[in-house]
Amino acid sequence: MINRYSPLPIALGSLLLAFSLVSTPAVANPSSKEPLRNLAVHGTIDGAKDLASQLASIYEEAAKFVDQTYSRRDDPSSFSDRQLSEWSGRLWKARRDARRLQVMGEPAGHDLFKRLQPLATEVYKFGQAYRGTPEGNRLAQRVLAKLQKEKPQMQRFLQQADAALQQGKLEVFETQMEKKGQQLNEQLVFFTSAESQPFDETFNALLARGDSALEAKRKEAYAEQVSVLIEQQLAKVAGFAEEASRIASEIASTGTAKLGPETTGGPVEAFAYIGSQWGAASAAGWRATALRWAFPASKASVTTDPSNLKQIATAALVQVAEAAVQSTPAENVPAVYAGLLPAIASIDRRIGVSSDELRRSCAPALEKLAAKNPEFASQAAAYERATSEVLRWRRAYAAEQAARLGRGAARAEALLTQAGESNVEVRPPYVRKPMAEMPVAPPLLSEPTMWMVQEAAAKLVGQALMEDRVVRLSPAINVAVAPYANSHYANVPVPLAAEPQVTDLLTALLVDDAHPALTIAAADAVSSAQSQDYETVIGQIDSVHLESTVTRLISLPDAAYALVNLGGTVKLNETVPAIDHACWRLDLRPLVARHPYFTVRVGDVTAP
Amino acid sequence: MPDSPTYARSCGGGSFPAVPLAGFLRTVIVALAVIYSNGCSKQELKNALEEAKTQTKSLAESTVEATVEAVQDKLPQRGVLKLDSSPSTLEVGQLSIELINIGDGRPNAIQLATYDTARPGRTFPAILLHGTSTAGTAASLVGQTVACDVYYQTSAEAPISMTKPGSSLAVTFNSLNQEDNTLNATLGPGELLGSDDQVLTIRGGEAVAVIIGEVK
Repeated sequence: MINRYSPLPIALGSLLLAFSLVSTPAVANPSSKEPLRNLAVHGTIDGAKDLASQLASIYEEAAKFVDQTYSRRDDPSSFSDRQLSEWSGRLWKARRDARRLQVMGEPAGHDLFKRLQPLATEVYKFGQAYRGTPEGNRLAQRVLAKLQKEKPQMQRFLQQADAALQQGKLEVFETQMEKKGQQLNEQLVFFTSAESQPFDETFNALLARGDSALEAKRKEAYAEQVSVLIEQQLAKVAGFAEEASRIASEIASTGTAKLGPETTGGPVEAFAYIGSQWGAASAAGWRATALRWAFPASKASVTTDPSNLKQIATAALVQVAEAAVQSTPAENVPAVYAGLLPAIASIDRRIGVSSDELRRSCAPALEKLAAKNPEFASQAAAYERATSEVLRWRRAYAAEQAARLGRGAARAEALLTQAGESNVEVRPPYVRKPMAEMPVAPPLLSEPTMWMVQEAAAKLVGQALMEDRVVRLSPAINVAVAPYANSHYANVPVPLAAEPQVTDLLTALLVDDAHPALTIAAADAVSSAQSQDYETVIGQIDSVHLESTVTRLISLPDAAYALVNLGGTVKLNETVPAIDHACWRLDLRPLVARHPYFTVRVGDVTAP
Repeated sequence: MPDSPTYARSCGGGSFPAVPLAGFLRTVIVALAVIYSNGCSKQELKNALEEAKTQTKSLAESTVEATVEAVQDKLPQRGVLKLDSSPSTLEVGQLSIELINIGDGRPNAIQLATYDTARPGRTFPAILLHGTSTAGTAASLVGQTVACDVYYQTSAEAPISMTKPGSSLAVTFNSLNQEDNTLNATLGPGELLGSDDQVLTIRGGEAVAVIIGEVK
């Protein structure tokens, strides 16, 4: 029986809407539903998006040609020599453009290169096979004679190109050399490498010299450009530190502070404001870090260690709480105290696994605040006595229920890192499968993403999986996330149909609009229930998306800061360029969600 | 409430060897005191006495009974909760009630527990009934019915059962025994859902709850 409260269709719609916010790159990523899509482009460097788009079109066209030609591989005489020549030249140029895209810091450049490479290899093989036919042999002889005849011209061309290179006319050099290189490769497709050597050895050596100079020049220019962008992001981080300190000081001296351009508020509003600004600063910090990953030559003056930001934020929040002790008149203590509790709990949940850090830091201030109003202090103590047993029972009940319902659902980490052979045929027949067993969701973009995503999808889609610490992006966005860990993150559409449980919890905790929770445990229970943050979600994988970690973070909007725990880290394999790291996104269809104090079953879920 | 720890599971399992009369009486009194201090109910004390009686029928029965009554008279009431439930009925020889007045305008919390809520561990079977009322004193609860959430666990390894969201068990307070400092109540029918999805049906029940607090 499907729960009549189920908002799943609405929530899935919201999910799409929300990810138009979260996924800013113009091109979506390959997914189990659309595996042939290209890796998204972050577009930090002008022209990257257009170049990626052109290459994607060339790839599609070339793949069609190769597939068609491969189907006639037993009859090489049926091959079109003109098309083989054309594709040999175009694929040579396209692979160079893909490398250029890599220099632009685009993981998509790596992916496109990996997609184009096997096509170029295959076209070359077709050329060799055609050469074995009488027609092909005659053609090769004619081309050979032509190349011999044009050798002096080629020498003059190379001398001019070398001169342009010496004079630093790198772009002119590149344009001329690429034009010539494409023509050369159109002809050399019918020759073995030994046969080609007299005609392309000098050319290739000169081109490599020019490429090296051009790449260094471009990297320097991009690094300069990107350093400005990094500084802009770091300025946001630094701005947060200053702003948090200012607010804390103002609250301490006057009891209120300016919160944004047109808003003024007291300690409770300041606390929530600093929390959200910390989120924005955290997102900015990650954008800066990812930009530096994508452009290792870039320079930036300030570090973006998230733990520093956490220290700054925590210190400011504690200062606000301490300031509240000073500035709050005794009669306002109940409202301020009860207002601070959910704000503290909400931030703690976004800090991550050990989620009581902020509440521990703020505990002394809260104690002093309550003590300013002895009557309220005794009310809070009575409230604790009235609710602690209820919370203890409900926590144990929810844990047992969720453990039983979740039996059989693998933890995300275990499922994604499980090694095994591919059980689907995703590669074209002319490409061999890797010999080694691969993890279900490899942490590196080691192969073309369309193959990787299809292989992962075959093993993952429909599987039940367990994610911990699922937090909603914001009350306005109907998506909750299991933050990035182990090369993946997960999306869960919310709100789930938890109205009866939430109402029941509030009643048990004696909470209504006029009477808030008076302990941090109860405030955490109520605020997490209302915002739909869950300790664990067991969900069926609805779709799998393959993203680049670098692009994901460069494109991280402030609203999606919770994708990385506040103060948390994104661990990369430092022996591999950052640009090669994969980020798997799992869209879950929730089955069971465990709130600390209740369980939500979506649809008809029974224990296995 | 006695200050001694409660170990309900240690009750009722002992036997008394035949000994000379003076020594026997001493043994019975000490044993009863030990049994009581271990958290046994009046009923369990009586059971222990019956066992002693069958073994020493020829000894001074009336003296023993008089001694037991004297012990009982001095011992405070510990309360009892009887649940007529299915698949199994349950009787726990300890029940306390606490009225917690928070004092900020919200209803008072009523908390009935078969274990000592002030201690970290629970004794089993452990049951908590939790509801709210505007009544601020035990006396004013008499005649009132309070809708209570029920939490229930027979042993540390057993699944927990509780009332489903939105449902409750009616607890009607019938009388106040000032001498024993207890409230008598009857429990209405209801259903609990186990963390194992098994339903526990309660047809009704009776309670004698020791008033341990009227916090204001």
